[in-house]
Amino acid sequence: MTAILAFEELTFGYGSGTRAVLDGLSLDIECGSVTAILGPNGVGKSTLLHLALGWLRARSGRVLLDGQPLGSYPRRRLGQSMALVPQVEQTPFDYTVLDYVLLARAPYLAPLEMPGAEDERIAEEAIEEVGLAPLCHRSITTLSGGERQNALLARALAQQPRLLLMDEPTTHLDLAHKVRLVHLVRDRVARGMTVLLTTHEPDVAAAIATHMVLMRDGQVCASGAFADVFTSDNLSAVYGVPVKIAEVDGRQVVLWT
Amino acid sequence: MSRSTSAASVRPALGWRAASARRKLALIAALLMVVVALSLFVGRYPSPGFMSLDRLATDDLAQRLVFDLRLPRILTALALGMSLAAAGAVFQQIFANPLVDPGFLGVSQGAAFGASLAIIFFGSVAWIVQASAAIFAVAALALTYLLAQRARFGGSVIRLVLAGIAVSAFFSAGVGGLKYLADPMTQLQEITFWLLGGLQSITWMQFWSIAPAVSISLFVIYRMRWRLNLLSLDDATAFSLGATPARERALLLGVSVAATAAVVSVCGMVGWLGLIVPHIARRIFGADARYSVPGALLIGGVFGVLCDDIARTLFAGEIPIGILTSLIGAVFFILIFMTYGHVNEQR
Repeated sequence: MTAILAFEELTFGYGSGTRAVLDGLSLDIECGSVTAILGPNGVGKSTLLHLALGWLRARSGRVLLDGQPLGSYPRRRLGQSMALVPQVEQTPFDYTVLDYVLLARAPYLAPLEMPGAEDERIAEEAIEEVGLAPLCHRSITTLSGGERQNALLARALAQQPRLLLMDEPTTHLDLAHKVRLVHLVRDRVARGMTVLLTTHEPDVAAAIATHMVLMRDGQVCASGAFADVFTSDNLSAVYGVPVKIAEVDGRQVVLWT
Repeated sequence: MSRSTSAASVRPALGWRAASARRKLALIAALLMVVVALSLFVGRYPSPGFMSLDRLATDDLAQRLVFDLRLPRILTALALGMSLAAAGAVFQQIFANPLVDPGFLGVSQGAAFGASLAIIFFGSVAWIVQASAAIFAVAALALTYLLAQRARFGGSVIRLVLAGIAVSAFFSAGVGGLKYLADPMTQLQEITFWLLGGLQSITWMQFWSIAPAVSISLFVIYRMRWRLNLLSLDDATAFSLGATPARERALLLGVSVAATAAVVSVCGMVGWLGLIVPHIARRIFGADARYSVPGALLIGGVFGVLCDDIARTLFAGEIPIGILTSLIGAVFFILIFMTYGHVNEQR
């Protein structure tokens, strides 16, 4: 399998002279995979996604998309290739869900161009896919945390990326929406999408991930096929608390005391 | 619900929304045209109130009054309202804050300082006052921008806000100093009247001197209006959606300040329009800048022309337009916030 995204010897810190958040990190994300990144709070998971996006620049090392450095791509081309579902996002005005999701079409439009009927159709489909169709014309600021997270997901889907970056996408979701998200990701991956997500929920990772990355102290301490990395020893070492992995009805679940 | 039926149930609503926005825009555009046309006949000649068509057709003085004095003044009032409203909409979107106006970033105080300086040191020659106000308005923006680039705190928006506050304070101190130096019998009065705003001295020459900057700026804002939705989101998100947030924001702020500096240079300080009109537009058209920006342009035009009509007609002496816009703006501001549909707990 070829890597769609590669981090090479990446070192990054916020501001010059500060401690490095990521220190010489190398990682390949395989095309068509679902890679879950797990690790303690503040370990640099979100930072890694922002570096993948090209928004943050590394102190040293480089990020390659399809083997080419991110900097060699025009901005709009990157927007067509990758989409980010952030953890939270402030929206200052009462945009409707549809207006908000329609912004995803920006990478496909020239700077002075407006979204057309085809863009609206794509946005509608994405809204429907995440189950927000009944709220299509509601103001985004009146939605609950979970509904808003789904709107962010819809926006990312309407961007039609090959690589979907998700930063703790299930934090605000109830069980039903979590299940819907898991099915949605599986469906998209079956249609050729690659997914890189951070999460604090091993069960969610267990449900969708084909690959797993465990991070600690700014470095990758284990990565590879999900089954090889998702072990009691690895998780205990990363989080510093004893955890046990049990199998229930063929599914792996994490137990802790 | 099947996929196709629910998608179909969304689609007609979309068409309805755009059609409804276009209908409202057409209605306000018609209102603006009526206001502009009627304003030509409103004034204090030959007596306070409306001039008849007969008199315009037969009276030489009436013709000169309407076409040489009222028309350029009305068009400048139109440019004033449209520019402040459009610039206000841009500032509010870009700073993701509905409480900012085009005077933000030191622009208003810079213009006030420039005008005061010219009144004291260059004998209040009209074109020098205008040029000085415009130059210092743009200089204030440049200073704010440079300071923001050197600031080592917060994101790009918060740095601009902080730098704008500092630059405003700096020029505000300068205006205070100039007022203190001014001759209280002549110069101080003139500075005070300039700061209150007014269009009494507008001629065709002044209108044509601001027309290029205003029309180019408004054209750019109008064409880039959908991008404003994108630029109201945080930097990383706008970036992930293919935008170049810093460059696009700089362009839109630049043209907004150019339009503001142009109208303020000939009309003096006119507050509140830039703050209140974008709110009214969002109330009527929703937050989507595709419709709220053209809405703000038209409503701003109506406001500008009506306020100037009142300023020149109500009393024998002119009422400074800044007093009217502040008064009317404050009333609308209170009305809007007392009648909002819901409370947004987010910020």
